[in-house]
Amino acid sequence: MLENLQIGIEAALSVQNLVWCLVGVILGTVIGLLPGLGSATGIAILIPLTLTLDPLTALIMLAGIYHGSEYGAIITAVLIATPGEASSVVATLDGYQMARRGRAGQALAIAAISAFTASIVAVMLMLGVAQALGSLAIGFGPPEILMIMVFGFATVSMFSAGNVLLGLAMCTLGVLLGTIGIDMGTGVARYTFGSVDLFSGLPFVEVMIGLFAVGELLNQLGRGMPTPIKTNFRDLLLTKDDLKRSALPSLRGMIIGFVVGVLPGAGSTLASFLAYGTEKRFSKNRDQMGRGAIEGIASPSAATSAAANGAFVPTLTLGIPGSATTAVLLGAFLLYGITPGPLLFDEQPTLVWGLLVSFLVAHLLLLVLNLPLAPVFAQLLRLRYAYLYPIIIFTAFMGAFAVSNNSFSLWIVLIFGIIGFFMKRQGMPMAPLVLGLVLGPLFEKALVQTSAIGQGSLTGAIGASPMAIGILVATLLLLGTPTIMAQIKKRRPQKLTFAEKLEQEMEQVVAEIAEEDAQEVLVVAGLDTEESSTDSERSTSPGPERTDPGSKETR
Amino acid sequence: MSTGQLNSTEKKAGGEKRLIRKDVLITYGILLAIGIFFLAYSMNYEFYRGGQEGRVGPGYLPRFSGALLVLLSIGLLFQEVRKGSNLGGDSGVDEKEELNSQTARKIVYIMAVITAALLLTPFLGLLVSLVLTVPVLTIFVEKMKLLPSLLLTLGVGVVGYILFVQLLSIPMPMGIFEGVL
Repeated sequence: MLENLQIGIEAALSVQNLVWCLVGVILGTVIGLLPGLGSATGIAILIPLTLTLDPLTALIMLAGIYHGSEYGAIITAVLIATPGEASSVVATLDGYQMARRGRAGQALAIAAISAFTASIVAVMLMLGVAQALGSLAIGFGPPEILMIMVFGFATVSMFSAGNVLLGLAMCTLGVLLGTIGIDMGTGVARYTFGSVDLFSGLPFVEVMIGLFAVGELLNQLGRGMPTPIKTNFRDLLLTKDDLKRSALPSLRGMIIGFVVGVLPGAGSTLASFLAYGTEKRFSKNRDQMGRGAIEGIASPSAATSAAANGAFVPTLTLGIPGSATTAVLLGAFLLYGITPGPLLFDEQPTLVWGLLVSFLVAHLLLLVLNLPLAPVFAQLLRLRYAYLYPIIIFTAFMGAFAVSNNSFSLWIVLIFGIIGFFMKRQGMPMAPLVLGLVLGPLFEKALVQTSAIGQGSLTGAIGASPMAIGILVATLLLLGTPTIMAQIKKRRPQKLTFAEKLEQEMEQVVAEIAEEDAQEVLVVAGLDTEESSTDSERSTSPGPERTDPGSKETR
Repeated sequence: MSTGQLNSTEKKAGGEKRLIRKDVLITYGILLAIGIFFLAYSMNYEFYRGGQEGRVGPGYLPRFSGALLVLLSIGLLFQEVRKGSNLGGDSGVDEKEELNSQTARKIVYIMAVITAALLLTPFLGLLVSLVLTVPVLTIFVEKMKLLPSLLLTLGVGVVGYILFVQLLSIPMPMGIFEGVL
C-alpha cells in the first residue's frame, strides 16, 4: 500500500496536475455556486475541454470540479437557502438559520473544515478498501463482471429513483439506446435506419451534455433568484465552543458518509440525510437542530465529503458509479479509453493512485481557497441567470462539437436537452439512464463473452461461478427486500421505520422554520401574530424571498 | 407542483379519493411504446449467432431489454393507476416549480433560437452562429440592457475563439468566414 501511495503522491504532485487540480476546484466551486449548474452538468460541459490533456490530468481536474462543486453548493445553501446540489439540502436547514443570525461565516468555515477533515480520513480508508476490493475482484471473469454490472444497474436504479420499477425502466432504456449502432461482434447495424452518423452509436458525452446541461438549464428558467446574505472574512473565525460542538458530529457524519458512499448507487445525498437524522437523534444539542445549530451543518458536510470520496471506490473497482456525477465521470473514463473495474488497479496504478491522492490535494486547496474567499465567491450569487444561461448554451454546444468534430452531435445535444427537460419536469431519474447508456456496450460485451464460455448457455456459465451466483443472489435480495419489508409492515401494527421517522422529523423542522419566518415577517410588518395566524399558516417556504428571473429589477 | 397534479382525474380506491396523473400515464405510455418498438425491430437481428449453440447474437440484448422495458412500463402504468407512483428524480429531493406561461414561452423561444443557430451553422459557421445566440437571447428574449448584452457577446466570442479554435485547435466549420477567422 505504501508503495502505491508513493506512486500516487509522485503522480498527483507534478506541477501540471497541481495546476489542473487548482483549476478544477475553482471551477467546481463556481459551478456549485451558480444557479442551474451542478457537478454533473459542469463535468458534462467541461469534459470536451480536457480532451487534449493526459487522462490522469483530465480526471484530476474533473474530480476537482466534483469536490469543488460540493463546497460551492454549501455556500448557496447557507447564504440563499438554495441547495446547489441535492446533497446540500440538509445543510440549508441549519446553515441558513445560522446565516440569518449573523453567523454565515462560521457556518461556511465549519462546513469547509468538516469536509476537509472527513475527506482526509475517507481517502486514507479508500486507499485500503479500494486496494482490497481491487485484489478481490482481480480474479473476476466475464460471468462475474456481467453479474457485477447487473448488481450496479439494480443498485443505481433503486437508490437514485426512489421507485425501483421506474429506475429499472430508465436503466433498461439506457441499455437499449446503447444498442444503437454497429454491433461490434457481427458488424450488423442496429436501429440506424441508414444514418451513417448513428453507425458508431449514440455519443454518450453529447447525450449527457444534453440531458444534464441543456435539460437543467431549461428547468431552471422558471426559478427565481434570492438575494444572498452578506458575509465577510472576520465572520469566518470559529470559537472554541464551535469547534468542540462540531468534533463529534463531524466524526459521526464522516463514518456514515464513507459507509454510504462505498455502497454502489447510494451517493452523498442519502449520506447527508442520514447524518443529519443521526444528529437529530443523538446530538447533545438536538433541541437546537433546525434553528441554527452548528452540528446541523458540520455533520452533513462531513458526510457529503466522505461519501463523495467513498463513491469512487465502487466506480474505480467495480465500474459502478455512486451517483449521477460519478456516472458522468464513468463516461469520461471510457472517453479516455480507460475501463474502470478490477483490472484497473493492476493495469493503471499511476492513474488510480494518482487520482486518489489528488483528492487530498483538492480538499486541501478547497480549504485554503474557500475559507478566505467564501465572501468573494458569494458575490457570484448576484449574477443574473439571464446573462448566465446563454453562456451555458454556447459552452455546451461548442463542447459537444469538440468531442467528435461532427455537426450531428449538436442535434443530439438539442434533442436530449428537450428530453432531459421533460424528464426533470416529470421527476424521472437520469442517473440510471446514463449508466445504462454508458455501460450498455460493456454489458453486451460481457454477455457475449459469458455465452461463449458457456457454449451458448448463459445460465451454465453463470451457474459454474459461485461468485457470480453470490452477486446474483445479492442483487435479487436487494431488489426484493423493499417488497418483502412492505408485506411485513402491512401485517404488523403501524410502527415507523427509521427513514419514516427521519422524514417526519425533517418535515417538522421545515415547518418550524417556515413558521418562524412568517412570525418574523409579521413582526417586521407590525402586525399582531395571533390575528394573522391564518396568513402565517399559509407560508410554507423556509427560504428567502425570490425575485422573478424574468423581471428587470436588480437584486 | 408537478404538472401531473394540474392535469389529472380523480379515482376512488378503497374509499379514498386519489388523483391519477394523466401526464404520468402518458410518460409511461411513451416508455411502453419505446419498449415495443425496440422489441419489434429486434426481430430483424439474429438472436443467437450460429444457431442455439452459438454465442448471443446482435438481437439478443435489444430483444431481452425491449421485452423488459415493456414489462416494466406496464408495471408502472398499473402502479400509477392503483396507488400512484413515486417520481422523485435522481435524488428524491428535487424541487419542482410551477411552469407558468411566461417561462413556457421563454423555453420555446430558446429552443427556436438554438435550432435556428444550428441550421445557420453551414452558412455562418458554428462559432459565429452560437455567438449570435447570446445577444438574441439576452436582448430579445430576456429584455436585458443593450450594452451589457453586447459586451457579454463580445467576451463570449473572444474567449470561445481563443479556447476552441486557437488552444484546442478544433476544426470548426466556419461557413462564409472560412479563411477569415
